[in-house]
Amino acid sequence: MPQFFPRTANAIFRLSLLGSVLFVGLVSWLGFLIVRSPYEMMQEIPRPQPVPFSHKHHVGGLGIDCRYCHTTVEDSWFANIPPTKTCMNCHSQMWAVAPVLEPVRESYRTIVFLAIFFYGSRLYFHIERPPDNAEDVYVVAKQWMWKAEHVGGQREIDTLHVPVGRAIRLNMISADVIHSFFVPAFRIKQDVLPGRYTTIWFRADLPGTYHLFCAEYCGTEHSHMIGWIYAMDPKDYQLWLEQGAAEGSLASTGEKYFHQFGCANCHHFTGHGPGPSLVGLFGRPIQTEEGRIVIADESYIRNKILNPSAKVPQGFKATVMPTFKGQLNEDEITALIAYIKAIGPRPGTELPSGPGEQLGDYGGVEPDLSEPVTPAHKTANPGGVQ
Amino acid sequence: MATQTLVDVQTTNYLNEKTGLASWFFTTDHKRIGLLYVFSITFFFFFGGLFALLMRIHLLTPRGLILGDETYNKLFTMHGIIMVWFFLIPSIPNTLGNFVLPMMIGAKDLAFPKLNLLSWYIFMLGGSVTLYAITRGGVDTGWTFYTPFSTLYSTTYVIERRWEF
Repeated sequence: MPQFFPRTANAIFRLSLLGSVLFVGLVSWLGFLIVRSPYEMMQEIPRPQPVPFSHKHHVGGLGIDCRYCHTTVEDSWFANIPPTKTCMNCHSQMWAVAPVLEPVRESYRTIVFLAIFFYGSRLYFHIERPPDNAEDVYVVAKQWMWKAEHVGGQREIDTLHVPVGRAIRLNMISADVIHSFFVPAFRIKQDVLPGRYTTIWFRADLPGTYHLFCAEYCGTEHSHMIGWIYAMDPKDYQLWLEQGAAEGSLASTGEKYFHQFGCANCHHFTGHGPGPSLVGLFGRPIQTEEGRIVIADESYIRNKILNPSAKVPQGFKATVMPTFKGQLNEDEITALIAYIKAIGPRPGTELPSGPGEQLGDYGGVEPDLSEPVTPAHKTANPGGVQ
Repeated sequence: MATQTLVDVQTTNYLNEKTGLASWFFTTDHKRIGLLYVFSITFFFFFGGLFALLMRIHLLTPRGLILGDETYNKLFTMHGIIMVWFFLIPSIPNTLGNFVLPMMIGAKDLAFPKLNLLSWYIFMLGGSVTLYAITRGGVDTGWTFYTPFSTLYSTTYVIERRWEF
């Protein structure tokens, strides 16, 4: 086959490659020059301004220092354009309704609205994020009563005892219809939904008795679904706690259920069982089969108990665990969650390296399931809360 | 010399062109249908107001004067349903929409005058069923019919109402 291209073709191709790169660069550079040229930028051409500001009047007539408006001129390459606030320093008082200054006022109003927005969003984040050291209280609403359960196992109906000065995080669910937890004195109101946890937190500042209302119409005796919040001195609160809790702490009740309902048969603490170990589960991010990452909070654990085939952690089969829908009531689920919370460290702390080490506040790991886990505070204080 | 112009004063209008009950109930005139709506929402407004009045009387004393819990709940439910669905919503679109809007856009009438009349009958049917429900025990779900209260837990029957304009 005869040579179609001469040998010089190689050099020409290389040159043209180089040339095209150079050409593109040259064109971009020229384009940049043109776009930034004084002609394109309309330099020196006065344009209509929204506000006909007169330097002659402000500087020449009134004698205002240049630096009053152009504040950066001494430490910057260019003189900044002053913010609306600078204009409004004077013009909120003088010429306050002059039509010619309307754009200034409108700009100022925008700033005011943004300020309100940021104030509002700050409040929102404050409401939505309870402090880390908040004390958990579990609330189950049903037609027509408020049931509250403390971590120590103390139960109450239509009353809620809380210590003064401590953040209280309410983890709430409804057993039937939509209710709403409303304490006007604390400025909190949160809908309580069936089938889903909602939370709200508050901190009582003064000891006293505060009204609790249901603020979502829930049936015949909705107007009687009223309770009282008793905000107590921490010492009195401690006394009150010790009077209650006949059945042991919420976590120990949960531990009982953990064995009674057969959870312990699969969820071994060693992690070698058919199900994942639940030690240290609470508050941990879980990598699911679908590749998503979810935080193992109360809602996650509740959903896993009732609907195990959703959001399965990676490496586990969806079909192994039976559903407990219809077999557990909200109180039992709450106790189980409190137990699962208790067998792990608090969020943010490190996991223990081996079995036998102390876990959080609540006793050690028991690889042998014939012996149930005993929460530490129960053994340490046998007479106190019983 | 002044010229006298004869103004032809029209003496017949939509009100006296035809008379009699039948001329109202079978009319396809948008103005007359607009008036039908005015009368019917006034009728429903009276009922809604009556229920509100009973509730306010009940609330004269802190413990309540004349009603039981369930009756009270049924009353505010019916008050809400009637005021929202049979007064507020029909008021502007149906009365003003029927009476004024065709004139504003220069149309002779609505596009489907018989369908327009049919809408009023269906509206009245819905209202009658709602009022009838009171005599059969009433509804206590609130006008929002929040689930799951309205579907599972309410002690009363919820009548499903549908109507199209």
